[in-house]
Amino acid sequence: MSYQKNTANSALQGDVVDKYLLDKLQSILLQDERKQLQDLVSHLHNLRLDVEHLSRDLTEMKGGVLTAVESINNPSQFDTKVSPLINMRVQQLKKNFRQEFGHEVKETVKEELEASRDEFIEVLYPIIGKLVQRYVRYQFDIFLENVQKGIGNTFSWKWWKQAITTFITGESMAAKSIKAAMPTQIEEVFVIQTNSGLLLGYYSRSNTTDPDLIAAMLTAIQNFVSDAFKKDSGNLQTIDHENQRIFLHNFYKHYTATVVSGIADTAVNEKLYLALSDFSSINVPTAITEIDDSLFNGVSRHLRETFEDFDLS
Amino acid sequence: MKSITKKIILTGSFSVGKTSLISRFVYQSFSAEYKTTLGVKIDRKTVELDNCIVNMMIWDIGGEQKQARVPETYFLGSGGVIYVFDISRPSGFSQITEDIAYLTAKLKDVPVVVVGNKIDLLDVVTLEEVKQIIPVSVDFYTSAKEGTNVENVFTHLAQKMVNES
Repeated sequence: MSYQKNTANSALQGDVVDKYLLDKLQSILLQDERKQLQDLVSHLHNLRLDVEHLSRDLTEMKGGVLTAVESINNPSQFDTKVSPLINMRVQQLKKNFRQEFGHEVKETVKEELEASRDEFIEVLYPIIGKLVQRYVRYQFDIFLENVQKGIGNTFSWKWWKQAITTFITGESMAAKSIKAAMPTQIEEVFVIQTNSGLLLGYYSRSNTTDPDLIAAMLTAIQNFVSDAFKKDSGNLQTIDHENQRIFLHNFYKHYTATVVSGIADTAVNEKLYLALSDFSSINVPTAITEIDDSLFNGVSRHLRETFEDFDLS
Repeated sequence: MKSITKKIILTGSFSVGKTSLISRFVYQSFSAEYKTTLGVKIDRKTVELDNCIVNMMIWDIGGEQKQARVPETYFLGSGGVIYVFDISRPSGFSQITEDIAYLTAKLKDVPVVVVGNKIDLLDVVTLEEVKQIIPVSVDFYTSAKEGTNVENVFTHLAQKMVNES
């Protein structure tokens, strides 16, 4: 019995030892694998934590997106949220526009203006012209009013004299005052053979480039006008150019073109016509066979003598 | 030396080279680009002869198929006429006789010089053949492009005007 018990104890002890040894052996043999297993478990744990974080973030984002979609679908809500941002950006742009875009805008505008120069001029020219015209008319009205006011306030002997002259001639005192302020002056006189357009004589305060060509072109213009309008009896009488007026007066076989600056009205025209008529009858031959130096120089000299100090006022 | 001024008319059908003759004579230049003359174009050139200086006011009149269609006022007071036709365009030759007759009737006692222009477009043989079929007496055959005879046309007319005045 005792033997059996001892034998059983021995066997049990042997099993324990075996198991111990087996465990020992296992721990020696599987040391690396166990380490890897622990690492793997730890890694899985970390991954689980990450997934949980991500899941939470996604849930929050989903909430955000849903709120944004809701805001977009609801304009007033969207406006409330976005407007302040836009306003802030706009204010920033306003404040810093010159620094941020000034150069680009300047270059672009410059390029566009250069490229569309003709179109701009075409569009703006009439507008500017009208503005200038309106401005000049406005200033002229003011000027006339001032002149008239000045005259109205004056009761001198001179004023009475002017008033009587005005009554007789019909010319307003304002017009007289303007004439006094802007003297009328003969700038150039051309005496031109009617048919050929050749220059018979010429006088100018300043030397014109080519009076012969001007005489020919004036004649061509007269020819063109009479041909275009099919009227043999009518003639071109005046040509206006900036602040100058060219009066054309026709005589028997020649005509005159007189360039006048200042106020060149009907009275000036009449005075000029009478003077030129007298001049022509004395100094311009009616039967001209040839235009040579002596004829040209003679007529030109007489023109200078007559019109250099001619008073048109 | 005596100096006189005369109005010269340069006329003929369109595209015969009138303006090119003027450009060659006055400015010593030629352009192959064709620009039609509208109305009239006026230039001046002084020609110095042995006994006289002639100041020419040259009226280059826009070409018309018939001279009768040119505004009459352009012809008034002219001292000489240069009638130009295109030598390389025989289809226009039939009009020359009528045109010259019209001009001489309109401008009595005014010298008319007849000029066949563009000889540079024909070779020597063809030019001689073409000369045979021209219905009027031609004073000069010219080439505005190459400058052939251009000076001679104007000098000849200047001399004629001085002789007849």
